[in-house]
Amino acid sequence: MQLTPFDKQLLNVIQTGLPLTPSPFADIAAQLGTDEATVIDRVSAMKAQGVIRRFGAFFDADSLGYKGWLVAVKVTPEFLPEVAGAVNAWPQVTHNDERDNEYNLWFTLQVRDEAALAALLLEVERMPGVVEVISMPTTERYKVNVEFQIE
Amino acid sequence: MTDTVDQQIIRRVQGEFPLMPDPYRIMADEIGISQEELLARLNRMKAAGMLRKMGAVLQHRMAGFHGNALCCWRIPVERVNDVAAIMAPCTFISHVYLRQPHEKWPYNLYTVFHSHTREECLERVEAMAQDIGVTEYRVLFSRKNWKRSQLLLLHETT
Repeated sequence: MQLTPFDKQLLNVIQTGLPLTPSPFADIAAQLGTDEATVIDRVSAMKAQGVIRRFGAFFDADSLGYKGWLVAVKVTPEFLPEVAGAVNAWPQVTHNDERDNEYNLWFTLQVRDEAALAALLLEVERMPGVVEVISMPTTERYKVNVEFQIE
Repeated sequence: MTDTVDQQIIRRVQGEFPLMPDPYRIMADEIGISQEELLARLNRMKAAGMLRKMGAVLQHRMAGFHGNALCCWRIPVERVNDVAAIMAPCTFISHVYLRQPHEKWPYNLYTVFHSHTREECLERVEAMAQDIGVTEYRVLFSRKNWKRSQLLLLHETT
């Protein structure tokens, strides 16, 4: 999808945030010098095309009582797709990547208690091909910002 | 903290957002509260830092970012705050987290670097390493992304 200069401007605005007001798209349209229908139309198109991965509310997991962990798994390459697929199926898992390292599968998850984490990690450890599992809890978040200003 | 109305709101607004002129009225109707109450509660959650934002997250590869790496740094504990203060303002770094290291993986500061290419990403990591005077770090590019999602909070009972 070819993004027009207007699309890029619009993406930069809606990444920062949609106003919490009765007519948020009209507010953005006024800011960008266009009309409400154009804003809604372009947002819908870019969402349908996958440029916008998700549109809606993003909550802070910490303040709702969740704790984040980064888990690294060393798995025999032929078993990796199977292990990655099983990990993906857990709703607590937010990111899951195969990476260039001896620990070749890395995922992050959010849990409310350590017993839930331990149960999930035990499941991973018991999967065929899994050699080792290590986990690192988040102790402080200095920055969380998933905005990409587009030039 | 949150009451049951807040929890209903949190569940609803993480779902499909109505791309209509009056999205909050539509969602308020579904929850069974007024638009004014929904907006007041969302504004309160935003002020409290509970609601990070209402808006869009982009598919960053589609937005032209192809060099994305998880960089793990081993920083002496007494320098962590200073180093984080240098990294956090960088627009090409989206996450700066401190984690408790593991004996087999002794890195404590975790950052995600984004660039248009891998080469550009590596240059930025190397420049940062020089800036902060740290030599122990690992750059982990993704070979394949299996999942990237936002946890839908309070959808589960646990």
